Amino acid sequence: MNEDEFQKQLEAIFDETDLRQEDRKLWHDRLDNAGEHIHKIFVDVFGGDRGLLLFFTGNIRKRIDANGDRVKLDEIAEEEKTYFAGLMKGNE
Amino acid sequence: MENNFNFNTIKSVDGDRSEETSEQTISLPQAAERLHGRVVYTPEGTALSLREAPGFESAGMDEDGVEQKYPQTVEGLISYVRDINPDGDIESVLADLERLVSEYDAMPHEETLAGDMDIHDETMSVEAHDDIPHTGLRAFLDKHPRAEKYIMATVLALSTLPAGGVKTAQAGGIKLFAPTAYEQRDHRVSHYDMNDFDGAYRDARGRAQEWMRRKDAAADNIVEAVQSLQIAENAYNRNIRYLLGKYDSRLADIYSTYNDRLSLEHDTVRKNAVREEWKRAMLAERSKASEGISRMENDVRSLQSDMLRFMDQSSIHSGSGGLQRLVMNFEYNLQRVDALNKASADDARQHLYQELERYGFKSAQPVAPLRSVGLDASRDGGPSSLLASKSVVRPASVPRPSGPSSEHANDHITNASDQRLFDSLR
Repeated sequence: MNEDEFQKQLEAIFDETDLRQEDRKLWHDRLDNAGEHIHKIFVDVFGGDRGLLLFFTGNIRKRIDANGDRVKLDEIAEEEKTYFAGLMKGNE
Repeated sequence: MENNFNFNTIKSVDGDRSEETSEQTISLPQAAERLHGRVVYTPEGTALSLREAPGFESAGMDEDGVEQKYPQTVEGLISYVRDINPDGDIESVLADLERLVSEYDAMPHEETLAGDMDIHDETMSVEAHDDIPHTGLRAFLDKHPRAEKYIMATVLALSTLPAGGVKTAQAGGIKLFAPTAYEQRDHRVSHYDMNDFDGAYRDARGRAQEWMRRKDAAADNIVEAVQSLQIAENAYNRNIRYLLGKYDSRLADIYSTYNDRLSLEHDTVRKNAVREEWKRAMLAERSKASEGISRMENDVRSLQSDMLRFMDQSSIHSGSGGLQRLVMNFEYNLQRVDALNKASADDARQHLYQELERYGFKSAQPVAPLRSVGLDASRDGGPSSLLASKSVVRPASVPRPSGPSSEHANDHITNASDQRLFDSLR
């Protein structure tokens, strides 16, 4: 997958998830220099899985906002666990 | 249940030096290495056995009597991902996860894990806990692709925090956690099963066999059969190139993966463990390739038998050079596959010799030159162009072609020189 191809797929995934511009930038910051292997992983993991992308986008934002606060990070970790448990039960 | 151990703020890991309390932040490779230690310390200074950490279990003793502990559940993997970050780069995290899964799966589970599931947080008691001790993590993740996706998403989301911007990925060969559509298909079918990847050969072969079975209008049958066989031959050649190219690619991936891992290891015991795993990975890949080759051989042998029988039954003595050429072409290709199989084995040997020498091991035998037989999977125009220039005349009695049998192909995978090489890795 070349860079142009990846960017197209990335935007398509963002569009189908209806992601906000600031959230798109957040992912761009992480992915733009990540290399082809990571790009493939992103497409494999989030392509066609709107709920997963929305959850983890929110998760990143919360972690940034927590700014290292242990209590907040613990709360986020609890959310992750709950989400994963739901995922395994087919609720998410 | 304590759930907050953090590899980035481990103060001391070695159980034999548990009094040490000096603060230090350790790198991901160090953290990974120290996963094999006995005790970790929480940021608050509480000693925490890895056995107590969620999702981590003992997998028995290694040969030096050191207890080995791995994340044995998805929960453990997620804890691992969550807690080793944010400083680990994505590729390193993936490589570590991959290693943990494969190492855990390689351990003798039956002695250690039964009935020891009560440490898990109830919210994480996913249905497959019962499966894991019996089938291994890899099998579990295959069975629960969303769990694998969740783990990957966690890696993608957390690995870069708080720095922003991931490090450029250099390592390669991390396949199991990032299957492409192609590789996902490979989970379901044999990696080297030609018929699953190129139906053209199978279809043309079927048509040719049908024409050859017909007893009426023999001349037309010959024309139709030859045309179908020519199509089959072209498809067959594509399949050969595909198989050998894929095999080379997989060997390169294996080399890259284990080379990277060895470079991260600083302990002789750990290095040897990586080498052992490397050896197993190469043997497994070659075994799979060999199976693919054997299937091809068996298939083409059967087709050749049909062709020879057809020639005899049709009393073909002249004007049938096309058919005879095809018989020889298939034979040529069998020999070509065999030769390339040997060449690929030489590649594999060379990789291992280089690695041995780099780490101060003395090579067991000289390094064979790459592609010593002068054949290349990507080279085109082989059999047809070579044989088409020859005047092929059917002998009075066409003998059964004497190419490599499937047993011979397997010999190349497990021959004595390879065994000596692998023994030298121990």
